[in-house]
Amino acid sequence: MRGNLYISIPAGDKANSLPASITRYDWVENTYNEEGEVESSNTVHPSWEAYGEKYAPQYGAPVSVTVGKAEYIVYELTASWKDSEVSALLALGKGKAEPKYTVYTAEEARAFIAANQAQEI
Amino acid sequence: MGVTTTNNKPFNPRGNDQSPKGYNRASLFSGKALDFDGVNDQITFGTISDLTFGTGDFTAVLDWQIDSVSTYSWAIAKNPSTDFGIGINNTGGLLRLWIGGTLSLGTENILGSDWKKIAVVRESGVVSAYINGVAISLTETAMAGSIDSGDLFVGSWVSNADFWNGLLNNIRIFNTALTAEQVADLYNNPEKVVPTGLESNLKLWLPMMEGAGTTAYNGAPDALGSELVTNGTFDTDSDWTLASGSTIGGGSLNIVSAPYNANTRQTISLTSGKTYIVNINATATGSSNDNTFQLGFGDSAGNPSSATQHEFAPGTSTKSLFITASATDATIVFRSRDAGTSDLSVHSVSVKEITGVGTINGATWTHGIGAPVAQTAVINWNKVSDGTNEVLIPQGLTAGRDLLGNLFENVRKQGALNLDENSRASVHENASIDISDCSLEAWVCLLPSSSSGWKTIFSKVSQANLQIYLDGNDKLGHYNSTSAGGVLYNTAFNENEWNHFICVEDGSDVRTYVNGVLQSTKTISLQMDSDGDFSIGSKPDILADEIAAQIAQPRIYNRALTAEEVQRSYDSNKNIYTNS
Repeated sequence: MRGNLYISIPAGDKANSLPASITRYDWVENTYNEEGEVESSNTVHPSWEAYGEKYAPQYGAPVSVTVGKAEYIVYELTASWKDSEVSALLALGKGKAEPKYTVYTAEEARAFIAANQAQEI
Repeated sequence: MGVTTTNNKPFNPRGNDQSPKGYNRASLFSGKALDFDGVNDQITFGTISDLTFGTGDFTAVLDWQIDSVSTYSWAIAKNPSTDFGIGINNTGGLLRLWIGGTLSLGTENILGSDWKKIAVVRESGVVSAYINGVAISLTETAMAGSIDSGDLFVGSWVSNADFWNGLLNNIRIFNTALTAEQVADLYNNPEKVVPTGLESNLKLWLPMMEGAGTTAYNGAPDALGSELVTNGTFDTDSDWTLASGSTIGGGSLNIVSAPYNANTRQTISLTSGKTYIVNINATATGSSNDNTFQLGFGDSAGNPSSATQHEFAPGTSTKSLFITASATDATIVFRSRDAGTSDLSVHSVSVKEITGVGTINGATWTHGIGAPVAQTAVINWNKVSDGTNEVLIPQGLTAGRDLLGNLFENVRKQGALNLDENSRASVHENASIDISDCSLEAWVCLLPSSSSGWKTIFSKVSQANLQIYLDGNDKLGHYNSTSAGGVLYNTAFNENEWNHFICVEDGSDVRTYVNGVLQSTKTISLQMDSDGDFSIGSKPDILADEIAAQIAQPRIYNRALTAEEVQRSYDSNKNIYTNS
């Protein structure tokens, strides 16, 4: 699966939850009794870190980059313009300088990561 | 006069005829690949012990297609300090190798969006590299460092960096040095998985042609572990912990009128996080699909973990499942779900570990890839469930059996195109196929499909000019926009059965023979004299009306065959395809 945008999250904020209005990545965790029946259900609205772990098979791995001394994590996801999910993501970065909560296209994300990752072998 | 291109598979219209008059080559658009986005897509593997070569010889071969490169990108990488990586530089478009602690670059620009087959060979500490079967120069060839244990990554460097932007597939790693001739042989014969005699040297084979799901399977001979179930054929009453009312006898495990959640189980050696293939043949009775029996891995008491549960629908079924074990899994278990009213008879069960299983992160499947991507479609693949999707799995190479234990040598012998509704073979326009009186012939084995539309066998120029197809009822038909013949044979081609047909045009009529017998005569034209590409498996101009079928021995004759010749052609191959 290919998302339609990428966003750079300050690494220190990875425990923050996705915007409340973005619920498509929520999931339900059930507990079962000894009979195998559902005993209780809990809807999880994930943090960025949990989102990255759970949805890596669909969208790819979270990628860490370092800009100056600050670490950021780039996540890929699908967000709807129509349902204002993109607006909710853009709002996270309102008043903040790039790359804090900056939304990228794939091409922009490739360039951002390439420019800010340490040179490997 | 035949037409030769440089990178296409030969197509012999006279098949096994001992006196071929000429042949065309067809571009085969049947491959699959994984598309990596260059941002964060990769496949992650654990450590594969077979890839620990020390300072010994090895060869890596892979196919790639590049969309763009940021600084540099790695197609495959393993253990950063003492291992290897194969990638490319943006600057100069140079091949980039990291082997045993030494960096080497190619000396020529190999960027470009075309498919390339890359081969890297280390022999006695000296490395050579090949692009499309031709050796290239390297800045460093003495690369004798040790290749030790480490996790394998496809589509990135090992530290979530330098991601691949483009397509990858057909990655093979051997524990021996291939010769230049063997490397060229693999390029010139893309359907070939292993050079002759090197089957046991293949230590990793990632076809990456599963086509669905988030797992890349290893088809190398050593990928399949030993049997973990004792007495999986139920010849004796041992090794199983039986639920109330259960018995073993007559080669079956019989669970009769079992109470709700009764667990019949056997303790087996499972490792958390590892993937196993579970093959089972069983007959179930019950009130609905969801309320009969479950198969899964369970804890020591046989309580199956929800992630591994698979339901049995009523009836006899053979299942092949890929199940990844969780931390508490210690048993293979059958659990009844319908108190007192469900019966299950298990005829056989097998559990084997698969090594070299990769988790796909983000990369997406793409279909219909053209030459020179490996035409593994000529070898039959098996479609199984990975728990969520129906996926194709690579076959092992051991003793001619696939990962499910099925023989595949007979299919190889048949040499059929295995078209999967996303594939076609295309013969480029040339004078040799621009003919009026003609005969079109093929053996066709229709495969299961959800399509209710037309399924193309042959087409030339466009559907409006010529389309020989199976209709929504799987009956052989003919179409062109001016004088469509409609149904040519009023009996459906059954799935998984081979049928032979020849359409013969003599200038006024088209006679259609199926399995050697004349079935219809229509006053229509095949219009083979129109200029344009000839396609097998889909329309020639667009990938549409694709067929799921094996098609063997497609032949085009430049004259009308006689009834005797038709019969002779059918007779000469019927033993191969129908065993009759």
